[in-house]
Amino acid sequence: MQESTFWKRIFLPRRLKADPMNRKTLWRFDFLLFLPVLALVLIGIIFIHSASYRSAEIYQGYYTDYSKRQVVWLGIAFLAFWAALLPGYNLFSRYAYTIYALGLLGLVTVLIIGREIGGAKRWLAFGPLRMQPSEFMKLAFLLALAKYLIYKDVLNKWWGLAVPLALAAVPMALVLRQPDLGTALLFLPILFVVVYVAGAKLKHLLALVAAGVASLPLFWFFVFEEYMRRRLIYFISPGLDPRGGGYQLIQSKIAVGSGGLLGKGLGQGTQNMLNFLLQRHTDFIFSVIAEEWGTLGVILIFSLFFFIILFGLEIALRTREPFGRLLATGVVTLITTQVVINTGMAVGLVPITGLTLPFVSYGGSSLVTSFIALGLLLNVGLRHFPVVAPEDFQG
Amino acid sequence: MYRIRVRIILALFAISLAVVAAKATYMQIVLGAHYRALAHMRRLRTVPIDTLRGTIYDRNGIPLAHEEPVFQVKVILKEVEKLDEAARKTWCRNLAKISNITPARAEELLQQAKAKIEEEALSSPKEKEAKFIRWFRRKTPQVLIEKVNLKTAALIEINQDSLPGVVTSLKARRIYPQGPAAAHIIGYLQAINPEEFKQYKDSFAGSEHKRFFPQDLIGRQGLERYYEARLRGSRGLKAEIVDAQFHIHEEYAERPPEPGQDLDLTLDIHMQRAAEAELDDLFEEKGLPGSVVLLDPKTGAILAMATSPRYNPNSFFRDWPQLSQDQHHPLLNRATQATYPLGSVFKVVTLIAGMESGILRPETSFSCQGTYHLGDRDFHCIVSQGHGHTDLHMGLVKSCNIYFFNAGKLTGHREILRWARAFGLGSSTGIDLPSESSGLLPDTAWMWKNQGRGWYLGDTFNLSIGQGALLVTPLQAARMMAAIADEGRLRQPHLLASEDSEGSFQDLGISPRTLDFLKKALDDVVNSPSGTGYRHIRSDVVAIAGKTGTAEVAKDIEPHAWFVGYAPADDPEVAIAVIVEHGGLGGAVAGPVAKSILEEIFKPKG
Repeated sequence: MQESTFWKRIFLPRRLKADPMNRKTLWRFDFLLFLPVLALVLIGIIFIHSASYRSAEIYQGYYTDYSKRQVVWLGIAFLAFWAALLPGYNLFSRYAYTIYALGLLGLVTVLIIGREIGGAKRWLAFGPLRMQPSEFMKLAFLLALAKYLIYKDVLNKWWGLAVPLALAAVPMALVLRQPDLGTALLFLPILFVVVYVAGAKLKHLLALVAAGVASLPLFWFFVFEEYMRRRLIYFISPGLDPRGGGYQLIQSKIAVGSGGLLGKGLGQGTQNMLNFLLQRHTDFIFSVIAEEWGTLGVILIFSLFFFIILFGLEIALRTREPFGRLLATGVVTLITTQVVINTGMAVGLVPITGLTLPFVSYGGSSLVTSFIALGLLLNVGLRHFPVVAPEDFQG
Repeated sequence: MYRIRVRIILALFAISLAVVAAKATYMQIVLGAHYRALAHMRRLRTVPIDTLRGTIYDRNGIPLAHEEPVFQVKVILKEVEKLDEAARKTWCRNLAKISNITPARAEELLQQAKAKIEEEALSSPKEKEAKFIRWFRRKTPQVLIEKVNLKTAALIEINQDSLPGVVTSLKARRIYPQGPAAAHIIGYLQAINPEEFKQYKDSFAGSEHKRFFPQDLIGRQGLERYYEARLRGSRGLKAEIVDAQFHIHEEYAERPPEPGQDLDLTLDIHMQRAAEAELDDLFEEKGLPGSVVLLDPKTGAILAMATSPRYNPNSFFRDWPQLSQDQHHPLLNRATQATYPLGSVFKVVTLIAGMESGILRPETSFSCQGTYHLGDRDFHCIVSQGHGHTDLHMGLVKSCNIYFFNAGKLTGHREILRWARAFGLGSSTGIDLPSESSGLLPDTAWMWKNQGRGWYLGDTFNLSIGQGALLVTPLQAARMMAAIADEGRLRQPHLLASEDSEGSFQDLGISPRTLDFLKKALDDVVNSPSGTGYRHIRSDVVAIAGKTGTAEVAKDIEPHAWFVGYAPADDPEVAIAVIVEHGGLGGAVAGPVAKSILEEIFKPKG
């Protein structure tokens, strides 16, 4: 039997055989999807090292070589990955609303007892570890959304959009309170893409977009905080304050542009090594890659992400069960949106918001969340037939 | 429908990625050069390296102006601000102990350094820039104590641990070891002012490194100014790679500084001091300013050029309020910048003009009754009862005005002016010093222009004895006498030794007969008992020859006293011009000065 192959022994310890499907389905583990991710993580660690080792030598006590920490986080992320991959995803479907509620609880908690860093309460501290509940909330929201939308009929009426909208609005409001505009805005593309793929009527969606655009001035004056407005202003004209608000955008564009075709070479990027580019091991890791590996590096990164999108959506296409379909689409949307926003802000296409590049940027919460998302996606890929627990499948 | 929608999403995502990738690629490949230039500009900082100004030496290699190393104590304020109250008290105590000041003074200096930064910050119009200045100055060393000795500097370096933020640095300072000696010739330095800065901004073309910086010192007077371009050298350039926090990652000297050229002068500081000592005595005793020029007649080299009163270039700026108020104008270099009527010294020109034009012969005689009536004016001789029957030789030796009135009348003013012009009287000599005065040699044209009349016989009379509108500098007088001493060869007076050129001169074409006659007469002015200089100038040490002069200025004001001559009389080595402003009789006042100086120079060695 093929079931007792090498891969099964590695991936399936005996006591985790909760789902009988595992033995057959592990075969279909999507290496074509997993390998680009591994490559990105590896490139990430290399460039996190490049972005921080020199400063760690010069500014001792202020900087450390973050690549070592990233390796530790990678270990934790792998554990989370297996935890998301191994149980049949029907399990997540069953507890979707519970997970969503727990996520909201986390967001409320962080507003009350969260650690404030740089004027924003985003982190919950567990001893030396810090985590961002908003990161996990994205996934919790996705699970709840997918769960709600498996009943396709609800979307036939315009008010069928109201529940998904509410599911997004509550966590968005809480995240905005931290404040964290970038993460809050991430809920919107997930909402729209998942609702669209689930079969919402186009005219409903367009009406929603129109309503959103119409209410923008309201947001500008009543919801946006001062720093959000400033960010948008400096995005439009960074020259207004080259040492202040526009600084990072200018430095990032210089880093990317000066990389040229072949780049300056690993550890040779001046914008990187000479400390001009800030947050370069986290949000602006792409600028460092573009500076040191040039256009070739940029194309490599985008190709790897494109493979993830392609094979991710391929999973969504081959899955015949609605929760899996929507979950897979949602995960791909989550990753893609972050990639586009993160790289877009590095080249000046998108205003600067604090978003990481999935799998590449330094950051525990980001890495763990990305790997859980990947685990969910592959989980769907492993079990793409409509054989989840029948009691959940009532559509 | 589901499959179509997923594919639409796929296409949407792919397009989004492609747009970002295209923008990145566009920036890297099409705009790459632009961004690379920006990145380069940001990281490379060029820092000028100061150079050393050239030394000025006298003819024997004694330094007259040089750079002296000075230790400065500087402080990085950011480091000091980290200290708490008690630690700062200790810091002040430690600094005070090492640098011999009181702790209160240390605290005061610290506040001064802070105030200076604040002053600079406030002077910048933009708030952003002010903020930057405050931030940058606080983290770079600022001057705390201007000058400390080597021991203090060493102690500070050793005690780094107890003095956080304190560093020492070495700076060059211009020193004039001879003090006030030759001060007017050497000049002094001052910070460049905004107008000069604008003026020199684009000069030194082709050599960016010679460019002035706003805080630079520039030569203000004398050689420091005249040879500014040679002395200052050119700055070096150090390239540093700095990060966003101005932390230096790498540095390399791109271009070492080129020190300024040294100047070797013809000046002899001993002769200079001898001349100055005489003038100083005169000024201290009688309050009479004066000037002395000593020339080498064979080369035109300036051996000494003294003026009194003087100033000390080392304390120039401290003394400035006093100096600028002084009625005796101590800043004036009287040897080249002040002009005087030449008086009887001019008679040698009249004599040469007369003899060379064939009108005067040694035996030409006139009778002197003490007064010459011309129309309704009386022209007087120095001896009121007159010299009686006088020939050319005695006319000069006794300096008979009446004789030279007649001689001038016969020769004509045109011929006299031609020779005066040939001797360079009334025009600048072109010496290598700034702001030389030209003096004035009046002619018919000048008369029409300035007096509104033609040339009268009375003007010829005045000219013949060096009066009237004629004005010369002591340097011009000395050069004239040097030319007579050197067989009628007029040379370029100069201070820089490299300008010496024995072969380069302008032969005035005076016949040997005239020269021999004139030299004999000049010898007799001093060495024959009937000469005007016999009593006060004749020396047992060296045979001096020359002509006295008493230049009338106005009624009831003492005339200027002149003596212009050379020594030794038979083989001149030194030409000398002495003037004492309002000193009185040339022989009695200027003569002794010349005598003492020449005796000092020619006294037997040992």
